[in-house]
Amino acid sequence: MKTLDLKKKYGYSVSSFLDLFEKNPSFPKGSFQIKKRGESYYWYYTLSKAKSNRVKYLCKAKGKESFQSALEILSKKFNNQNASVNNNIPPGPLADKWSNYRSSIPLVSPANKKKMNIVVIGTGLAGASASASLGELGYNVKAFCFQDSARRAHSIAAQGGINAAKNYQNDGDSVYRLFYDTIKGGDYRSREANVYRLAEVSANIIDQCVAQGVPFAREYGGLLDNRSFGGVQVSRTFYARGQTGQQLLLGAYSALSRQVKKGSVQLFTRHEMQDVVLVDGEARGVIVKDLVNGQYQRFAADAVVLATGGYGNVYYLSTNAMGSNVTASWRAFKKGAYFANPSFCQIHPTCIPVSGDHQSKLTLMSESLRNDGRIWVPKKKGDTRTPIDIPEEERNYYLERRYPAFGNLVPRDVASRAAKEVCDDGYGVGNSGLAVYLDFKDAIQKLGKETVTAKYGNLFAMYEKITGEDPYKTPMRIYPAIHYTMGGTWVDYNLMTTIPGLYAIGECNFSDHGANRLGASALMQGLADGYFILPYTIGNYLSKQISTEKISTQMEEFNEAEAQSTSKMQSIFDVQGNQTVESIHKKLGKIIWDYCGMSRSEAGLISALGYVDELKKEFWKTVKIPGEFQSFNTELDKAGRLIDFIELGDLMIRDALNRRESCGGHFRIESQTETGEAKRIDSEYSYVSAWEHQQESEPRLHKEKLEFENVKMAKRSYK
Amino acid sequence: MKYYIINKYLAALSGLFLILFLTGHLAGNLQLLIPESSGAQQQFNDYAAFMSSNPVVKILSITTYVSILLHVVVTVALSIDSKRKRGVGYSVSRSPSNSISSRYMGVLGTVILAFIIIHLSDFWYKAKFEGETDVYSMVVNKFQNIEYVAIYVVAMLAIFFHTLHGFSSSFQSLGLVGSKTRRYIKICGMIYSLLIPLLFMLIPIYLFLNLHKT
Amino acid sequence: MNNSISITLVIWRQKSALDKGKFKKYELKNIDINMSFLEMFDVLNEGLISKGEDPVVFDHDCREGICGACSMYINGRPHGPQKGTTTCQLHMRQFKDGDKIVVEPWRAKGFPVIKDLMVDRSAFDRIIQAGGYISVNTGNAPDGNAIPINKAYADEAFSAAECIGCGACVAACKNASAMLFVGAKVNQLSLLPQGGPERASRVQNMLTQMEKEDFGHCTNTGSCEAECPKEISVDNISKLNKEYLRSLIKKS
Repeated sequence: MKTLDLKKKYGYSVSSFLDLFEKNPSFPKGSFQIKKRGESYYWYYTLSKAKSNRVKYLCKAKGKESFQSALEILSKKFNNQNASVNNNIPPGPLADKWSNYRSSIPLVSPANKKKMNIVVIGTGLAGASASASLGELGYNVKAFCFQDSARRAHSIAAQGGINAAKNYQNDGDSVYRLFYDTIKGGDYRSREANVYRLAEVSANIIDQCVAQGVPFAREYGGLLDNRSFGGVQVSRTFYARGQTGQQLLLGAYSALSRQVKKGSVQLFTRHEMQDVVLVDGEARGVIVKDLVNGQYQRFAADAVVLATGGYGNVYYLSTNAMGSNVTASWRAFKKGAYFANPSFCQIHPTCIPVSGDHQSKLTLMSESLRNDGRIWVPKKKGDTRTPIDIPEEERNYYLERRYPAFGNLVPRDVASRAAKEVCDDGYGVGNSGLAVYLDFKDAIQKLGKETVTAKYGNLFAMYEKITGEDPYKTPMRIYPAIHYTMGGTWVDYNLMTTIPGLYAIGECNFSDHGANRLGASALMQGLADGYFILPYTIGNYLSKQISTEKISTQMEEFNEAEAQSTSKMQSIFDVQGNQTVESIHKKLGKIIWDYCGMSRSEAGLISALGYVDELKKEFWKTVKIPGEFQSFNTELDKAGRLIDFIELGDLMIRDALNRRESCGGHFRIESQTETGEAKRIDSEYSYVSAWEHQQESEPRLHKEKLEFENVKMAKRSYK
Repeated sequence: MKYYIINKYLAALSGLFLILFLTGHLAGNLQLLIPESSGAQQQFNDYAAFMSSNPVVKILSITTYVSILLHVVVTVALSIDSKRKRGVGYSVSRSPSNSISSRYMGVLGTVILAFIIIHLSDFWYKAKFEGETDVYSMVVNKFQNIEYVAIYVVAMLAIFFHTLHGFSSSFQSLGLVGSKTRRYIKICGMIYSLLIPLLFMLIPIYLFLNLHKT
Repeated sequence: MNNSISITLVIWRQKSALDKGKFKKYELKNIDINMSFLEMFDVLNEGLISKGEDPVVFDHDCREGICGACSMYINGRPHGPQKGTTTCQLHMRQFKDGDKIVVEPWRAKGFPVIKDLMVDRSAFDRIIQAGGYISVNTGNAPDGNAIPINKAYADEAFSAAECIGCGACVAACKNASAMLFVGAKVNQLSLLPQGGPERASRVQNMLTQMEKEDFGHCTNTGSCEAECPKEISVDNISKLNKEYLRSLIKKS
């Protein structure tokens, strides 16, 4: 049968088609198709303009009326794009939301779970714990990581600890208090419901990890030990010396390994996701590159989970691992997943300063150092004396002076900005003038060298290894560095992105930390999402997919996605200019750090937009990739990540420009108090910025209003 | 079948038994240091006769032969196996280890095995199969030969290095070492591996220098 | 003070697993002694790429000594000359002007070379998959403080758990044995009451897998402990030997 006849059979009429477009002139032009999938026919709408998700699934073609319903669905689809985002927060009182909702989520029967495939990208705390838990539930999981082993994900580098509202110390901690601290710490830019749920499941995480054999620090009585951690006044942080992230990740990794052995999880190492494949607008698979042989592979799935961490490497120098990248979330963004609050980046105050141009990454030292170390700079500008030669009265303990209540323990953003300010004013120390002292002289005198060694021995040794200086004798030099990104892929209460079937968990999503993350909360969120939230909420979507026909990787959508990924990489490879990937990345880092770093100004951001645009052009003209295209080519892989970082940089600047207030890690110099503290503007900016990718024009902003019903928005003061 | 660990247990157990055997063997042989004027010949020959007739000693000696055999078979098998595990070798290799001897146990063991064969064919074979009863004179005569003494000295040095590692290593292989006991076992091993070969070495030198005649 | 040195690098270059591979010499001048060893490699690679040559491939990720990805055999020693240090934390101030530095990949049957200095360590993953875990499903756990654990045991378990899975122990061992890696995991889990029920099967399965992966046996040379960047003790091997003996006697 001819196509037109087929269309007519199901009620196609040109006049009603034209009618619709007359009424809605803003609708993008295109044409209707009818396609056979399996035994049945379906209505599709294909946009005339080339675009990544140009084919839109409408409905099943059945009877003459089906064209009318196809038209209705199409107009709903286009109209929906104008609506604001729906966060799907369940109704009811805050404290009962999660437990009520959890028991109302439709279940997938064990027999059906076996038939469902879930792809998880990333094997850090969130990815490994989610893969393991989903595997335990009976789903078929395929987990991917670009490292050589799942155990090397960068969660491993977290030092300090993990928060949980256990109240083991009897110091008045509770779920509500952890919730409140997280909301307040996040400067009232996170969702109440999500944060409350996080606080609620935090206690389960500790139990789970202990049962897995994670060797947390213990007291002599054999019970778990806690410490207090940056910015809060209760001891709720569980830790394993200075390697909590490592121990938690190894716990999740062992749970994952157990499922691999059982066959419920298939693990693919040295594989990197290149694209999400959408079929009928829903995530139905991924295109993955095998990094060892350079081959592209296709995997079909009923749902795709992104657990790929943060994008701090956009700054080039950060405490992220060398391989940490934004590629998976960015490619999802380009397929239609919104990206939220990209400008919210956390700067960690206690990092080892840059020693020269050769610097490839920065090393963080645990925030716990601020419990006993005192931060100061010389009172005299450009003082070149060695720190021990500077007498007590010529030292400026600026944090203790400015914030008498919290002193050296003020939250990360406050401590970082203060360090930047004193250095910008010319009081910085070290060769570069970009460092302040963190002094343990008083602690050693008061507590004795032995106690200090017991508490911080490994950190001191690490500092000495890197700098060649002995922190027992001379104060450490520290400077802030990018450490964590609160922004990320937008998700609803179910942790689902705006693409149905595509989820984002851990640092990869934006959900829980608002504009600033509290210490020891990243590990908590990663594991909460992976162990206790996603395995439930994913059922909400999957229970509706049981009757969906199985996806084959031979479908047109897969062909298209793979062709797109390879042709993009091929065009990068074909540039063959004269600049290495690293050198372009360094330039990007400098732009973003200078204009979209610790403090941001309107004029700076506007000029940065131009610089990033130029850099993007420079990339496409000058990048040089050695080797062969389809082989083990680390430079090519890095280049693919870099172009995504460049494009993300642009979005970060736009987001920072849009938010003309200071909150948390985002400091707009136009919005500060007389004393130079950050000034939030709740009346105008109490929303989540969710950015939607547009093919031809600038990204479009959707605002998700933040409602605070259970906490009173207060000024965040640490004076 | 955990091939390695069981083999290591066998190597350790046989090794420890041979360590015990050496102690007993030395105790008997120290009688050779008695001056001839004090009736050394009679005493040693009596001792030799006793050793070859007592049923308990018989069992012990069979255990010794078995141990030697087992130790050799198991460790040779392990060594051959471990040679394959590297694949391509390093061009430079200088990782520190517990002791130099731990890297050359195979070589040392081969030297000791060669020595045992010489030793047995010269004394044990003659006494057992050629009906030699004056073991004392046989020994004394043999050690008038400087090359022969040299062989013994070299062999004892090999035993020194072999047990220097083997002693504590046996305990480690059997899982009997902890962080607290490691030091003591190491010291015991040191004392043993110094003392036993040194005393053994004394005998041929003593006889060669004719000190037993004085 | 002069802060830069010149060095000669002799690096193993191997195009793929099937390629035979050979050493290649590179001269580097004006290397800042504050660079890490891997940053020095970055400088080398930037130079190679600019000349249109293939950069040297090596595993690395966190560059703060915890992920265990870096794996260079430097001048005859895994992770180079500094004790208790990974390659990424090794700094050029450990070398002198004019030094010749030979860099090889890990060499072991169980760790086949993928390219240049990068080896395939998935054997370690498979050993863990064979039993390096406590079988507990998500949500099944009792309260974290329900079972008190003697602090000494908890601390010892932690010391064993510090292993970063880099494989330096195998690289250093003359028999390419993975006993320290296996021992550390077995000991960590058997020290904790939670690991009790699977004690016997765990040690048996992990050891079987270790042998399957073509790692050698332990001759107690102690090189693994000497070269371990986390200084994990050979006590763990002794304990492993004991655990296996125990598993033969007691079935749980």
